[in-house]
Order: sequence, then structure tokens, then C-alpha cells
Amino acid sequence: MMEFILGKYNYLVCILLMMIGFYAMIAKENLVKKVIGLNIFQTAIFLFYISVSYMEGATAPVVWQGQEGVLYGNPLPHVLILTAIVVGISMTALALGLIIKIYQEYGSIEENRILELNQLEEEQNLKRAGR
Amino acid sequence: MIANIIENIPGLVVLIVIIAASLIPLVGKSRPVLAWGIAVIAAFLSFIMSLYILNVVMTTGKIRYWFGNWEPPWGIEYVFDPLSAFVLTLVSFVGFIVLVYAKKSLEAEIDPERITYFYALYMLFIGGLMGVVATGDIFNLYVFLEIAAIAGYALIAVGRRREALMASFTYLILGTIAAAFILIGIGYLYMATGTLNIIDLAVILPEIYQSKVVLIAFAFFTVGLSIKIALFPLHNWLPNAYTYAPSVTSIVMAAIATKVGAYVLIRVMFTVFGPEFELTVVHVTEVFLVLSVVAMIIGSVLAIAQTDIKKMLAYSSIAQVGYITLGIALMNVTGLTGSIMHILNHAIMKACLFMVVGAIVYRTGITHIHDFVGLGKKMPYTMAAFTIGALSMIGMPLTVGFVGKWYLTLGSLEAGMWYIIPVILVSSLLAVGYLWRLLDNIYFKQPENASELKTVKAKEAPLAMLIPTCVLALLCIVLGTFAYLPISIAEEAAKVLLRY
Amino acid sequence: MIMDIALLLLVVICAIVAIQMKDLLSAVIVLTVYSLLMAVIWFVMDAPDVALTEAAIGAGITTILFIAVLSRTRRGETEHNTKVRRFSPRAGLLIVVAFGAMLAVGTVDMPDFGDPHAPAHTHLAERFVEMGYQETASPNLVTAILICYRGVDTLGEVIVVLTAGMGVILLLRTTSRRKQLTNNDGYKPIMCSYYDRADKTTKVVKGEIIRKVVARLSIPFIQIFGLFVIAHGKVSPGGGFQGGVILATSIILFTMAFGMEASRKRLAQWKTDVLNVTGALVFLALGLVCILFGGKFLEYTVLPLGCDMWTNKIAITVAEFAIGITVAGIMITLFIETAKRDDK
Repeated sequence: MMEFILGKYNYLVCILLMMIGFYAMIAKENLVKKVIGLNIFQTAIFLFYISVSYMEGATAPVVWQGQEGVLYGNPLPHVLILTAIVVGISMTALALGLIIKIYQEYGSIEENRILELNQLEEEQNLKRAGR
Repeated sequence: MIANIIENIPGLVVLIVIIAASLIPLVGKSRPVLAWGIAVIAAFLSFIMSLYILNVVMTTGKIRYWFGNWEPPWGIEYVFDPLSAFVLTLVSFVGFIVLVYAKKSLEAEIDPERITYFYALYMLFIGGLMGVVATGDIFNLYVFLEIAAIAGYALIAVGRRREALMASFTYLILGTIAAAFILIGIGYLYMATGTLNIIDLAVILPEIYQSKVVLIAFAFFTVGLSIKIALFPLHNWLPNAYTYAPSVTSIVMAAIATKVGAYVLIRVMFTVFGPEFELTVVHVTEVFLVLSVVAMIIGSVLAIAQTDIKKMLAYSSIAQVGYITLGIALMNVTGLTGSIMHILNHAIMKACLFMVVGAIVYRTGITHIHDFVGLGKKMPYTMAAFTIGALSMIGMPLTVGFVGKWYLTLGSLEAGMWYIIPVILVSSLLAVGYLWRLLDNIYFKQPENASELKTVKAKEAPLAMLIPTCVLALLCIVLGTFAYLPISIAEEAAKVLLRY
Repeated sequence: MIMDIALLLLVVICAIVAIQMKDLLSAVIVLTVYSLLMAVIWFVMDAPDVALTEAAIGAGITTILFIAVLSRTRRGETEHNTKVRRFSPRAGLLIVVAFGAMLAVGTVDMPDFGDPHAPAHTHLAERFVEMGYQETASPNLVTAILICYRGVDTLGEVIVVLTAGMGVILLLRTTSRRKQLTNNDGYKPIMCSYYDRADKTTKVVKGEIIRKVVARLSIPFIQIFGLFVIAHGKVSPGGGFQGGVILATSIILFTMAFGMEASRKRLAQWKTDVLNVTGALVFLALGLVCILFGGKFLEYTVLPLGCDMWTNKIAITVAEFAIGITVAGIMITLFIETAKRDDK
């Protein structure tokens, strides 16, 4: 058991972080908190990828000219995560833009309050239509 | 030179849409008409190119296009087999025809200053979905899925009512969870195999089927994609997103967004992991079978309970997704053919129905089905198109909807699961239920009080909207009557997928 | 290793604190610390490119956007006891635990952390490390893969940023405005509309001079550094994304010091709108030119620019600058659209 944890501790921490972010995304009512959770979740996945790319005794994947026998780290996950970070900020930016609009329209950034307002409006509409 | 361009068509088919999207904000800044013109031209060219690709694939077989001429798995490639060429053609066709329709509808529903950027995002949405279909690299698939998703959230959020914002946000959160799950799946697969190329993965994975890393990767892919296609019980985001979005967004989302999700699900299950994996290692087909059956029934029942036409059609989409996954769960060529045919059917028929809704909104602004009394006389052609779309949804013979359901039925028999057939029948009958209520309102019901009628001022939809609607309605019949061509492609695709 | 574990522990603590804080501004600050720590961890794990990106984007731009949003909405998380309840926290906890358990099951068959013989290092990565420099003339292998081998991914990445920028413009840039709602959650409004305050020249705000002088002094250096990071992407960690963000921060700093109006006078809206798409179009054009010269999309070596090595070098630089332009433009757009006031 101890050996398992020592060998995989990095992955286990990634999973823990993913759980924290995921929890905030689904269970928090505050919209900003959800986006914070989104950021934590995504960054945790990035940490997982970087952990996959890590190699004992290797150096950063920038070739040193004229040096032989240097062990370079695995550059591929780095490339993927560069892309994923940019996807992450795009998602965050759009979500935050939506939050501004939602606040302008509803005066709240609490999900259950907004849903309640929606429901009230629907009931009123039905009443007005006389059904 | 020309020969070289033709050689590059497999890449250009997606790129041209993205180029158009980047040009639109520059050119159409003050004149939305120019933006529309560029978008239509690019979408049309893209559709022609995808037809060319489909033709080449069906005559000479698989196309592989290496970007930058880097050989895969090191570089990224586009791969066209019968399934991806078929879905690509469908996506570019729907993208083009909705764009023709969009001009009038957007003028009525969106602030004029927003129209240019709406077109740009629309093109990015289509381009993203086409990239997902075309790519043969699993991480590239993720990137293009996100392009389509981000564009989709923005396109929903500009709906007329404030509910659109919350619908978009809910979709954003669930969609991001789905994307994160897919990203985790990709990470696990990369860790186990060291590759990202789909063809390469298909070669390496059978050796390590028993690895738990692969198993978990599969689980995360399926759950993530199930959210994207709104498979019951992960469908929560769909009804509001479709209901409150602008008509054009509803049409294009309902017609192709979930279909591309279904395509990716098929691709991951059958090409990446291989049918062997599902049959011998995970036994996921039973789960899919149960969920499909439940979705087919519950979706239809919920649709009956709705009084808003957009919401009704949205819930019926959830039922229709059940049909598609049912064909996947059957794991035989006939069932999978039915599934692919149902992708075609649902794309065309749902686009047609939502176009009619858009036309009604354009002329009268109503979406509540009790207000529809008398529309049959006021908008005869539009309503005729609606009737045909509805018949195709029910699955009447001679419509394309029938073909899909027929193959699903045969597939169930082939798999020895006769008990699926009554479920298909019941779900179709429920569809008759909610659609009849609509048609009854439209054609037969007499208004109790003529002065309260909300359809008095309605007249036939403008030609720019009517023609695309009628083309789709006609296609429902043509593809259903002369079903040989689509079926031959779908069957070929199913055979390739199941490795016969 | 002790260091590693300590850092990881800190990150976990930050994550928990960030989601539990009731005061959203504090939560955002903790999130920034989380991102910065993450960047440090990645740097330690030999991923300098990713670390630089996370520091610039995750800890930099993200924080600015969050604070801008909080200053336009509200700062506190408030409880509402309503009948509408979408999701009980307990059910959420259950799902999350199931999710974590599944992921943990997967780790059983994983290669140990840092194992050089893991499949991830032996298949694709081998060729990238061995041949990458010869084939692309870029010593920074991350840039080599980013611009050459997986150029389409990078194009897609530029398009993702562009999509987000256009989406935010579509959402927030509109002349028909609704009434502004007031904050009523007991917290004072953050920074009392910080970005506006600098506009009001009549009322001297404490520290304003320092802010302006520091900004004036540092902006040229920031911009030169940004250009350096872009141009040097193939030799050292960095590249279009990181450099583009750094360029954008110089404009953001200017806006913070001198106010939105002054900033808009220097860099008009139509200019950023053009910048946004220019980069993407240059990248696309670079690919299309390759087709015209008889190659595939993004096949740089067909370009008639001398030997392969030089062609690659020039093409990579062009691509990096294209990325930089779009990223800088979009980041400025995102900041201005989220931070601007609604009504005056």
C-alpha cells in the first residue's frame, strides 16, 4: 500500500484536485464559484498530463546544441496542455461574460434564486394567458 | 495548381469555413449582408467539397490527408471513411441551408449590431463540428469540439428572453464537465498507449484491453459524450437551451450538434476501442440498451406534457437520441445502419420542424401551441412542410424516418431482442400523440372567439425562409422513397465500423 | 520529493479554501495563488513552457477577468432558501466520490510517477526528441511540435481564443442597455469602479501619481519582453501565446493606470477588432501559401526561402507572431469588454 502511494502520489493528488473542482461545479449555487471550480478542475487535469510527461532525471525539452547524452523530458503533453490552457481561459472568459449579463438581467448570481425568478415569471405568464 | 488544390480538398473543406469566419468581422463590420454573403458562399463551397469527398470515398475508399505532410501518428491527419464522409456531408449541407434561411430570421430576432458576429460564430460552430467529424487525431477532436461548444454557448445566449442566458450557462457548465471528462479519457489513453492518432490507437489498444487505465478511459469517454448527446438521464441542459435560443441556433443545434456527438460516440466505441472491447471486456451495451429504451419512452412522455412547441420538439430530441444509441447498443450491422440512418433522418426532419417554428415566430411571435389555431389556412405551405416533418418523425412509410426505424427493428430481431420492437412502437405512438395535438390545432380546431385569435395577421413565410424549409421537407420524402443511396452508404459505414 | 509533496499539499489547501470562501474576491485571490503554485510545480517538473503559460494566463489574465466581473456584479456569496433546488450538496458529494473512486481505480495499472519506460515516453515522444531539432530547426521541442508536427492543433487553439473573443463581444457589446442593479449584499462594491476612477481628473486619488509613473516606466519594458518571448519561442521557453498575453498585459496596465477612456483613445475599438482576426488570418494564409507552392496545408518546407532550415525558422517565426497578434488582441478585448462600465 505504502509503495503504491509513493509511486503514484502525484496522480492521487491530481484526482483529489479534480474532485474538489468538480464538486464546486455541480454543488455550489453561486455562479462565480462554479467558474472557480471549473478552473480548479481543468488545472488539475493539466497537472495530470504534466505528471504523465515527467521523467526521472530528465531535463526540459529544449535541445542544447553540442551536448550529447542529455535525457530530455517528453514534450508532447506540454504541447497538449498549452492548447488546453488556452481552451480553459476561453471557456472561463465566456462564462464570466455570461455572468455579467445574468447579473444585469436578474440582479443575482445565485443559481437557485435565478431559477426561482424564472419559475415565477413562467407562472405569471400562464396566469396572464388565463390558462 | 488546380490538381494540387483538388488534392488538398480534404483539408480545405473545413478550413474554408474557418477562413470565412475570420474574414466576417473584417468585411461585414457595418454591413451584415456582406457577412451573410461570405458565409453562404463558404458554406456552399464546403458542401460541394464534402460531396466530392463522399464520392471519392465511396468509389475508391478511405482518404487520409496529412497536415504539413507529417506522417501520422506524429502529425495530425484527417481521415474520411464512409461514416465520416457521410456525416460531414450532412453537417455541411444543414449548415448551408440553415444559413440561407438565417438572413430573415436573424433580422427579426437579433439586434442589428450583433448580426455580423452572430454569423462569424455560426461559421465557427459549423467549422468546429466539421473538424470534429474529419479529424483522425483524438486531441485535435477535443480542440474542435471546444470550438463548436464555445461558439454554441454564445449563439444560445443571444436569445430574446433572459432565460436564454441561464440556459446557456447551464449548458456551459455541463458541456465543460463533458469536455473535461473527454480530456481525462484522452490523458488516460495517452498514458496507456503513448499515442493520440485514432488509427494508431486502434492498433495498440487490443493488446492492453485488460488494463484498468483503458477501462477508465472508456468510461470517461462514454459519460462525457453522453452528456454531449443529451442521453437520458444526462439531458438536463437540452430543453432550455433549445427553447430559449434564437430560432436559427435552435435549428442548427437540434439538427447537427447532438448528431456530431453521436458520431464521436460511434467513432470512439467502434474505431478507437473496437467492437471486441465492448463485447468481451466492458459489457456496456446492456447499459446503453436500457438507457436508450428509457430515453425513447420518457422523452416522448415529457414531450406530450409540453405546451411550448420549442420545448416539445426539444424533449422529442431526447427520445430521438434514444433511437440512435439503441442502434449502437445492438452491435450488429443492421442496427448500426438504422442508427446512422436515424442520424440522417433526425438531422433533416428536426431542422425542417424547427425552421417551421422559426417561420411562425417570424410572422406571429407565438410559440404556445394553443395559439396555433387557424395557422393551417394562413401559412399553408409552411404547415405542409411541418406535416411532412412530423410524419417523418413518427416514421410513416415513404419518409426517411421509416427507413431508420425499419432497420432498427430488423436489427433488434437479428440480435434476438424482439422485446425492443414494442418499445419502438410505443414511442412512435407517443410521438403521434403529441404531434397530433399540434396538427389538430393547426388544421382542424375552430377558434372559439375569432377576435382573440393570435394568428389573424399571419401570412405565408417569406420565400427566403420557405424554400429551405420545403427543400428539407422534400428531402424527407425523397430520401425515404429512394432510400437506396443513403442506405448503401450507411450500410458500408456500419460494415467498416464493425470490421466485417 | 519532500518539496514536491509540500507544494502539492499547498495546492490542495488552496483549492479547498478557494471553493469554501464566502467572500468571492478572497476566493479569486486564493485561486490566483493556486495557479501560481501550479506554475511552480510545473516548472519543477521540467515543463517551463507550460509554467510560463499558466503564470501568464491562469494567474494573470484569469484573475483580472474575475475581478472585473466581481466589480460589475457582487462580491459576496449569499444563501437563498428557496423551493427551487437543483442539486443537493450531499448528492453532489456522492457523485464526486464515485468520480474520484473511478479515477483512482485507473491508477492501479498506471506506470509509476517519473518512470522513463512508461508507454507515454516510448512511442511518439521518442521521435520528437530524437528528430525534432533536425526536422524543424527549432531547439525548443515544444515549439517544434506546436507549430510543425501538430500545427493544426495550434491553429485550432488560435480559433478557440478567437471564438471566445467573438462570443464575449456578441454578448457584451451592445448599445441597448437595461437598468443597472445595485449591490445589496452588505459588501462594499469592489475597488469602487476602479477603472473609472482614474478617469476623474478632478478628484485626486491617493497613489495615483505613483501608479501612473510606474505604469509609464514599465510598459515599454513589458512590451519589449513580450516581443522577445514571441520571437524567441523556438530557442527558449515561450512563444506566441505567452508573448501575446504579456503584450496584452501592458495595455491592461495602461488602462488601469490611466482609465478606460485614455486607453480607448490610444487603441481604438476597431483596431483591436482588426487585430483579433489578423493573427488567425495570417496563420491561415501561411498554410494556404504552402498549398499554392504545391505542398500540403502548413507544409513549410515547400516555400522557396532557401534551405529547409531557414524556411522552417522563418515559418515558425511568422506563425508565432500570428499567434501572438490574435492572442494579444483577444486578451485586450476580453478585458475591455468585461471591465467597462455599463452607464455613465
